[in-house]
Amino acid sequence: MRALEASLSDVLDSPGVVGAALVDAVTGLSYHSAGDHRLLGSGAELAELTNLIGERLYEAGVESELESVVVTSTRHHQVVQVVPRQGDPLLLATVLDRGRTNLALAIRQTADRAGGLLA
Amino acid sequence: MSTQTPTAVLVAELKSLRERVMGISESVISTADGLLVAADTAAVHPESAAALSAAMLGLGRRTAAEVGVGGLRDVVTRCNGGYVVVLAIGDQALLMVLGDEGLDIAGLHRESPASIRRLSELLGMVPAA
Amino acid sequence: MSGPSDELSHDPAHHPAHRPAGGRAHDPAPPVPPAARNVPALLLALHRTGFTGSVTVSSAPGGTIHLEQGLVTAIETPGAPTAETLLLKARRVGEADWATAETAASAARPVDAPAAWGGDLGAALMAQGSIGATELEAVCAAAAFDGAFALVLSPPGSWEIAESAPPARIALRPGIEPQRLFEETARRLALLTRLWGPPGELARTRIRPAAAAESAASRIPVRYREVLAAATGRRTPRDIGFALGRGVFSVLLDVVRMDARHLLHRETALPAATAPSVAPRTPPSGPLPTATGPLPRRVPGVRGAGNAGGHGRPDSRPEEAAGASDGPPNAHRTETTETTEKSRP
Repeated sequence: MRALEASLSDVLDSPGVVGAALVDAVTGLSYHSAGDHRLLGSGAELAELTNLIGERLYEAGVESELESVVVTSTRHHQVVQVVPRQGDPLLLATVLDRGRTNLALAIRQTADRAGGLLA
Repeated sequence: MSTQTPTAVLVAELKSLRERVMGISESVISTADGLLVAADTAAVHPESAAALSAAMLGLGRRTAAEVGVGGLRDVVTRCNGGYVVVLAIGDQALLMVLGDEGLDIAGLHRESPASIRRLSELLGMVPAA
Repeated sequence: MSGPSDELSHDPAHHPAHRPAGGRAHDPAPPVPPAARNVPALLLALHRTGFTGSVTVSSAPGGTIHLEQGLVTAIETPGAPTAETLLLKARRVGEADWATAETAASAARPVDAPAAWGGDLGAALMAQGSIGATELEAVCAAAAFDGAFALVLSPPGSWEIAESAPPARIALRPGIEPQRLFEETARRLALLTRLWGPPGELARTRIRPAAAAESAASRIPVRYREVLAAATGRRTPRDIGFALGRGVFSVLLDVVRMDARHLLHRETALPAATAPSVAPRTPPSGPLPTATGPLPRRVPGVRGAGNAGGHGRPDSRPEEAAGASDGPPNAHRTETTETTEKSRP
């Protein structure tokens, strides 16, 4: 998956990004992962987590689509960005070093990368 | 043709074929001149489908006769969104099968002879042994 | 946004459809197909030899596995939507754009390409800007994994190897390692079994919305609503996948999730055929029995009786040794074996 791998390499080049993965949001199939992505867990776990949160949003009557999930630990932000498309969405998940980026920037960067992924 | 065969038994055979062959969505039995006999349908209009399928089979038969390739077995029409397959049930009736893009054509060719045989018997066209 | 516009003007010698006449210099001709007792073992052997061509499996349903240099580039089977169906039915690519790409791909074929080959449709779609390379790769990969999963649910069958088969028109290049397909397929089977029960049985169940789904529509994710809208009561999850342009495994997962929330009813599935059926002489006693109600829950330690033809449990398939492959060697051969469980070579 050369283009896909190249896209993920680009993501890894962003400041502060130490790991990244591209995953199918429904099946949890991990198309590709790069760098230190251990913190993200498996593609299946990412898909299950985002699906659960998405279901809860609707149950709560919010009726809006999940955009991203952020998990913050001592040294890292994990940002899971939903990449909508005509068809089942993808998830672009990144691990960022808190020492080299802040949360707002992390979310913004990942969202930008996600937007350019399918172009 | 026998008028005593309960429609339900014919429809049961159509449902059975739908179970055995992946991708079949609906099916219709009609007479050779386009009258509806029985249908396992949801979206299509059974009477219209019956009339059209008889026309397709009739045209297929005349074409086969004209070009001299022997008796017609079936007419397979492939469309962007699926398949329409018309199979002869003897000389007096026919079976139209609708399928999606993933219709198991090989499976249909494998399973339909038995269904055609049973339908022939049920329609009183062939004495059951 | 497009792939490079010179994608279609390949050097013919490197085009996937081109095969040098006479084979490679160090190969004896004709090559002997590898001995294998099931399809997974066959794919591993073909991977080792860098095989290019197709493996056609006969079953209910069967399918065709396309390989290039030993890697799986595409799988076509009635059991799962192809990349083409995923793109067209989900309306990712319009029919008109598709037709244009088909014309362009056909026109761009190398002069020595087999007549049956329609051209590199993926390259044409990218060249005309209908889809980007990354997204197309993701869709092709998803379709291949889905096809592999669907094939595992079929009864065991025979296979035929064809070295001169035309390549798939939309394919993932380079392809996927067979081992990766096996691992992902095993994961999917285990997941569905854990969440619900025998995947084969679930795949044959016809579903329709429960009353709760109608009243709570606004509190259900849009993706679930679309599945429910397509759940006519006549359709299996596979049928719904074809209708919506979504993978069969994706729909199965959503069905399991919706079942957990009591959003579905099911119609009883008939057991799968394990051999071509022969019509009974006596007519059936009436319409097929149907049962409605929420999908049954799996009770730990209790195996359901309705497991006829179920292939979901990786541990439950006996390996039968009928895979003898010492017939006359030639490039096209049919072997009959008793297992095609893709997750366990």
